[in-house]
Amino acid sequence: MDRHESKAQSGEQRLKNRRRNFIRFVAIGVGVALIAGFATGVIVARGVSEFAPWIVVLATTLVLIGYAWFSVEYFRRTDELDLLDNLWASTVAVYFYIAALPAWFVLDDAGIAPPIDHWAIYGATFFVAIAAYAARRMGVRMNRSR
Amino acid sequence: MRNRLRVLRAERDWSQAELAGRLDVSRQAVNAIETGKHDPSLPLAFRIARLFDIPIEEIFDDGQA
Repeated sequence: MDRHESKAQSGEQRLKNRRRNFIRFVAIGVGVALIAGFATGVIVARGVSEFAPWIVVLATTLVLIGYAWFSVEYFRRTDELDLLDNLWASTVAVYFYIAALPAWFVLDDAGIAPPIDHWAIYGATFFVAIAAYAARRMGVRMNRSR
Repeated sequence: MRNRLRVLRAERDWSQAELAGRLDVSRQAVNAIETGKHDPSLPLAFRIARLFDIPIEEIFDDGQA
């Protein structure tokens, strides 16, 4: 569809096309991520040491490149409100991580908590980011509009 | 920040989806601006002003004037 044709459409039709393209993009991204997740799961299940190092490095590099490309494309396709929601969610998650790790370290050092589980903090940080994003999407605001 | 977006949209009998499509943003963005939950960026504010063909300050009011 060229620019002229796009301008001739109603706003509702343009929004519908934009949303359809975005959903298709996210669906493809999720599909590729599932395949990559399955492939890496197979590699881990068989034992990473079973594979030549170059295969592991190549696979990791490809996944990271794909992740970076998807992230850049995602933000290119979203509007400023969604970008702001993502930035808020990321900020809340980073602050959570910055507080959680040393807090757990101190509690562990005092013998109150078990040794630091980095995967647990990783998962909790991810959960906090998702929760903060969902809260933003539902209209929760931490900064009052002036 | 207060704004007259809902009024301007109603005058043209546009839905939020129609306005969103014309501004190339999501319907949620239009709703957030109308309800004052999101202050648009300067580029988006200019796009809104151009679309309605009126100055920005006739759409948005920061209460300082």
